[in-house]
Amino acid sequence: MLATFLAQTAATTPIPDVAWSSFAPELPPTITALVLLLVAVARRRQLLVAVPTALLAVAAGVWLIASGETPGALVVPGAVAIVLGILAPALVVATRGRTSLLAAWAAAASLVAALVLTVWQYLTVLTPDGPTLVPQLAMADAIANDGIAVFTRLVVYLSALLVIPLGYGYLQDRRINRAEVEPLLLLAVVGMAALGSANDLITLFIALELLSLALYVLAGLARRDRRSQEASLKYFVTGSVASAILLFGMALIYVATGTVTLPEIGAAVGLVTTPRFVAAIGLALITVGIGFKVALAPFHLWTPDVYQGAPTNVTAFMAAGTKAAGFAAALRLYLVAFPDLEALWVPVLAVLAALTMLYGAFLAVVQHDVKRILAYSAISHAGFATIGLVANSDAGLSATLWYLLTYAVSTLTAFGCVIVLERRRRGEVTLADLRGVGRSAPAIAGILAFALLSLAGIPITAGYVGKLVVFEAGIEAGFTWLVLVGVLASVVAAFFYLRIAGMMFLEDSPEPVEGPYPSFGLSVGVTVSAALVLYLGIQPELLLRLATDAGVLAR
Amino acid sequence: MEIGYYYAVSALLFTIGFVGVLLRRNAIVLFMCIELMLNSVNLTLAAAARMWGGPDGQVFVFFVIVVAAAEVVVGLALIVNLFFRRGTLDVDVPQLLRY
Repeated sequence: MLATFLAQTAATTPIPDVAWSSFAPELPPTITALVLLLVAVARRRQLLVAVPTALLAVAAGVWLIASGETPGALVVPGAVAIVLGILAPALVVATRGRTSLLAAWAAAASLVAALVLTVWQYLTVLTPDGPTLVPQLAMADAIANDGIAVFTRLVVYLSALLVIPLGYGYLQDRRINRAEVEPLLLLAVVGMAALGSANDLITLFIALELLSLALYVLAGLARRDRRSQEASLKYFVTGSVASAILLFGMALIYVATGTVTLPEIGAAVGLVTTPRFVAAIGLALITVGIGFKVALAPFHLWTPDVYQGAPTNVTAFMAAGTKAAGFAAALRLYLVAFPDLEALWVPVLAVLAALTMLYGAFLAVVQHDVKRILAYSAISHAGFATIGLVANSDAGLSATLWYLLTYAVSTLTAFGCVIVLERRRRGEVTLADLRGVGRSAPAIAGILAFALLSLAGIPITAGYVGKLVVFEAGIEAGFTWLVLVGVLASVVAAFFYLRIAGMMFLEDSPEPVEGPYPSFGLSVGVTVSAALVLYLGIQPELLLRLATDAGVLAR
Repeated sequence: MEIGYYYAVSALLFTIGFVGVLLRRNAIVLFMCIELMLNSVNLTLAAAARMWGGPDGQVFVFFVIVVAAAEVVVGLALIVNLFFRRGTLDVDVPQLLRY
C-alpha cells in the first residue's frame, strides 16, 4: 500500500534536488541519536528536550512540504519529519521516564523513517521513469546514489530495526541497557549506510571509522563482564590496525593517481604514466584492510573471540550489518576503482574466498559454544559472498548484495533464538545445553533449526536462494572450481548445523529443563526475522529483482 | 628536496608501528604504535598532496587527524576500564575467549 502510494507520488512529481536527497535516509537516525543523548543527559526533564525537538521537526516538515520549485515534490520527507516530531513528546509521555524503553521506541521509529525514505528515494530519485535505475553522483562526487547504496541501506536498516526488539529484554536482564546503547547503534547503522554509498576514499574511510568506533564501544558494553571487555579490546586493536593498513593503502593509491574519487582512480590506474607497482601495493594493503573488516580467511582471527564475547544482540548486528556494509564498500572499490588491475585482485580474492569457506566450515565443527559456532559460520559465509565479488560482473554484484540480505535475516533469526536460550540459562549456551530444548521449548527450537537450515542452504529458506544466485554468478564468470569448493564447504557446514538441530530434538537433557522466557520484543523480533527467512525463501522475486536492478554502478 | 625521502620515512614509520603492534604486549604501547601507523599515513598524504598540488591529500590528512582523535577517546576508555577490571595492562594475561 505504501509502495503504491509512493509510486503514485513518484509518477506525479518531478525529481527533487539530488544532492540533498542522496543522504536523506541517514538524517532521521543521526538526529535521533543526538536527541537521545540529550534526553539521557536531561534525566527527569525529558520533555524539555522533546518539545523543542518536536517543534523544530514539525517546522522542518511543513517547510519541506511547502517549499521546493514544484510544490508537493517533498511530501514524503516532510510527512516523515512531522510524524517523527509528533512522536517525540508522545513517546516521552507514554514511556513515563523509562529512558531505555523510550530510546528503543525512538530508535525503531527513526529506522522505520529511514526505510520509508529509502523507498521514497528509490522510487522518485533513482527510478524517475520506469523500472530502470539511474545512478547518480552527489556532493562533488563524494556520494554515489545507486543500486548498491539503496540495497545496502535496506539491509542495514532492516537489521538494526530487528536488533532493537531482540536486544531490549536481553540488555535489561544483564543490566547493561544504558543510555548510550541506541545512539551508538544508530550511529553505527548510519556509518554502514554511508559506507554503501561512499564514492571517494575520504568518505569511505570516515564511514568505516564511524561504524567501527561505535561497534568497539558496543562490543564492550558489559563493563563488568571480562569476556565482553576482552572482546572489545581485541576488536579495537585488530580493527584499528586494519584501518591503519587500509588507510596506508589509500594513501599509496593517492600517491600513484593523485585523486581520491573512485571513478577518477579507475580512469587513472589505466594510464601508462601511473606507476602500477605503487598502485598494486596500495591495492594489496586495501585488500588486507577490507579482508579484516569482513573477516576473510587469513585476516579473520579476531572474529570468533569478538563474536563470542560481545553481548549477543551486538554480535547479531555485527554479523548482519557490518558484513553487508563491508562488502558494499568492497564491491564499489574493486569494480569502480580497480577494473584495470583485475588480473591482480580477481585470483587473489578467489583464493581467499575458497580458503575462507573451507576454514570457517571445518573449524565450526570442533566448537562447543553456540555463539562461536555461529561466528565460524559467519566467516564461512563471508567466503560465499566473495564469490559474487570475484565474478567481477553486474550479475555477481547483484548476487553478492542478495546473498548478504539472505545471510542477514538468517543470522539475525539464529542469534535471536540464542538470545532466548541465553536468557533462560543466564550465561553462555554450549552445545550440551541444547539437549532437550526441542521438548521443553518446541517453538524456539523449531525456529532455530529453521534458521540453521537457512544458513546451511536447504530449499524453501532464504539461504538456499542466496547460495543458488551466488553459485550461478560464479559459474557464469568461469569460476567452476570455486563453486565446487563452495559446495564442499556447504556440505561440511550442513553437518554442524544439523548437529545443533539434532542436539535439540534427538537428545534428552540429564536434568529437567525450564521453559525459555521470551519477552515481547524477543518474540516479535524472532518471529518477524523467521518470517522474512521463509518469505525470501519461497517468494524471492520482488527483492531479487531489486537486487538485479541494483547491479548498475555509478561510475 | 627529493620527494622519495618523505615516502621512505613514512614507510619506515609505518613498519615500526606495525612491528610494534605485533611484538609489544602493553596496551598503551600498542595503542601508541597504532597512532604511529596513522601518522605515517598523514606524512605520506601531505607529501603526495605537495607532489600533486591539489587539496585532496591535505583534506584527507585533516580527516585522519579527527578520526585518530576519536579513536584515542574510545581506545583510552577501553584501556582504563580494562586496567580497573584486571589490574594490568598486559593484553595477553587473561584469555577467557579461546577454544
